[in-house]
Amino acid sequence: MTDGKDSDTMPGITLYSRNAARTTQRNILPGFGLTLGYTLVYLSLIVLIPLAAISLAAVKIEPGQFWAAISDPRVVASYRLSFIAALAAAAINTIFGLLTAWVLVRYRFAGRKLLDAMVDLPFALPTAVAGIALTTMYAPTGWIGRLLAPLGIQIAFAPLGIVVALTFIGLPFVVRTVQPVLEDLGTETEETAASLGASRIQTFTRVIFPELLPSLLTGFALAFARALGEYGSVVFISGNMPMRTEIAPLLIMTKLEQYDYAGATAIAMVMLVLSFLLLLAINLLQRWATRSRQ
Amino acid sequence: MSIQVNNISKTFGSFAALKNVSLTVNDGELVALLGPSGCGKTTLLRIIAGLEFPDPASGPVLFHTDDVSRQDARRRRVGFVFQHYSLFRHMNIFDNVAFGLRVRPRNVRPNKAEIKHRVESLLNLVQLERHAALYPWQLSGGQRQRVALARALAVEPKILLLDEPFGALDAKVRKELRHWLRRLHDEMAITSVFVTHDQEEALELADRVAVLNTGRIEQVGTPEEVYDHPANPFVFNFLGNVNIFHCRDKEARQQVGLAQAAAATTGEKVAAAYVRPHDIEISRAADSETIPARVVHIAAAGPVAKIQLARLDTREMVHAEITRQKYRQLNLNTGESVYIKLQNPRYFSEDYVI
Repeated sequence: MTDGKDSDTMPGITLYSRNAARTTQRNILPGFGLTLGYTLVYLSLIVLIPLAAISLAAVKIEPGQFWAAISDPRVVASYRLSFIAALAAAAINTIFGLLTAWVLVRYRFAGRKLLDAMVDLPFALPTAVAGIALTTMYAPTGWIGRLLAPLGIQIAFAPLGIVVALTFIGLPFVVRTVQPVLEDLGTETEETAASLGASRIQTFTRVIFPELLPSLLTGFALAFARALGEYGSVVFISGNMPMRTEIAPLLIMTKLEQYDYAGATAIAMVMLVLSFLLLLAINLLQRWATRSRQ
Repeated sequence: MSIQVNNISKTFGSFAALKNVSLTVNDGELVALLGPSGCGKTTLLRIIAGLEFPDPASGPVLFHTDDVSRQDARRRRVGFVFQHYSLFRHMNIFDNVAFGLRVRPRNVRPNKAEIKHRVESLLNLVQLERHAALYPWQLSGGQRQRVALARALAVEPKILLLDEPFGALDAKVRKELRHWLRRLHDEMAITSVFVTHDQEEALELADRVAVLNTGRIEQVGTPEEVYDHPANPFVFNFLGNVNIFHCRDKEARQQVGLAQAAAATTGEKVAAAYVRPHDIEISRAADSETIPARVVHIAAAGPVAKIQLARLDTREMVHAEITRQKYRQLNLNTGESVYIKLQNPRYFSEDYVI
């Protein structure tokens, strides 16, 4: 697609294309108009229009009703649980994901390839299966739950169980974002730091960690976003007790089942805005972390 | 501070990178480790730096008289410059150079003002004082290498090690940096070892050159020594272009016009004469020691005229380099028949495998 020719059929797109042509002169890579146009259509159909529909439905609700729906203590408790559990799971995944990526990149051992492949399993497994499996393990009568029960630690049917489930489903993100960066970093950077007299801790905190920070943040954001929307595995392990272990997506589901579309939309809208703000904040943080890069 | 390595061997799996290598670098000297890729020169440098450890049966690595064999890179206080600069991407130039000072233990760490002063004077030294706030990606290759050097010098090392310091730079920048490094070395008088596969660089820059091949040191000497008196065909070959004249039998020797060849060849052991292109003399008149040849190709652009000839008797190719003045005098043309004479031939027995 070249400039101008398609202005009748796709005016918005060619406008962009023209602007780009004006600022970047002739781009050696062809297809800017085509690819951007496709991307916009695709994103609109898949993401923007459904999200707009939520906003539209939310606007239609009476303010009083909207406020009542989102300020119900049970709803507020579910937000708090959803966000705290998702953040906790993402944080745990960031630490252990970094460790896993480190082991996979830096050491050669038998079964490394297998371990590498296993990292993606949480993606492949239906989340309901994961939820049931985890519940079986962590229930007070399960293999792990039985050992923890005498210590007074309850995982299944408690907020902790939700964190466990969310950690499970978010595991691959940090590993897969950090791994290529770590591979790219190589060992020379560490050798340089060592030859300049840096200790191992100094090498990690001053050289390796800053290099990995942007990818860690990306992984964190992805794991967080994934955990926030997770529903399938959590409903099994959490026990779904109102005010205690009820997550926001479940509450939306419950409202829908009760034909309370306004209430469901209101909760969804708040979730949408809060997660958007959080992801925006992470993105800004990431931009700050990469300020020195090209 | 002098460096001494004794009987160092290093094996990677089944590959022997170094075989019983011993080398002494005197205090304040600039030594080049020269060899083709895979000859073990970088491994030797890394062992001196403490980034690699030799096989257990190896002898010690001594700095002055201290055995540093058991110390890792952090304790050896050696400045190491990597081929690809290895600058910290997330730090600006100032922070890169300051790194070695900032990671020192608190009791020996200079204060902020001292660090600033030191870094600024180093950036001055490498002529990058105006680039302190930039990030590595904003600099050219030559500038990055100078930052890497300043960073290595910041910790005041007693020894400076450089791994192919100019390998990734283009020819012009390379030559400039080479001269600049030599001047810097002369001013600071810091014991330095650098690795290179470029014989011109080694011969021009170093006080002494160690020529390595397949994990062994073939010869150590001043540039003149190794160039004029190569210990074996490998060194001869590696340090420049060479013409090889086989002298398999008496007849061949006479053909080549090498009366001395007989003397150099012990008994009937076969020898070959090695002659540099600039030691091939071209003339229009024949005498008892000349070989007839035909001019095949002439490349006269550049400081010397490069003449390619084919021997009329054996059809072997001979490469000659003559001065432009001589070239004009001879008034050579492609296809002409001339006579060549071998100056300063070196004889090596031919069972020596290169």
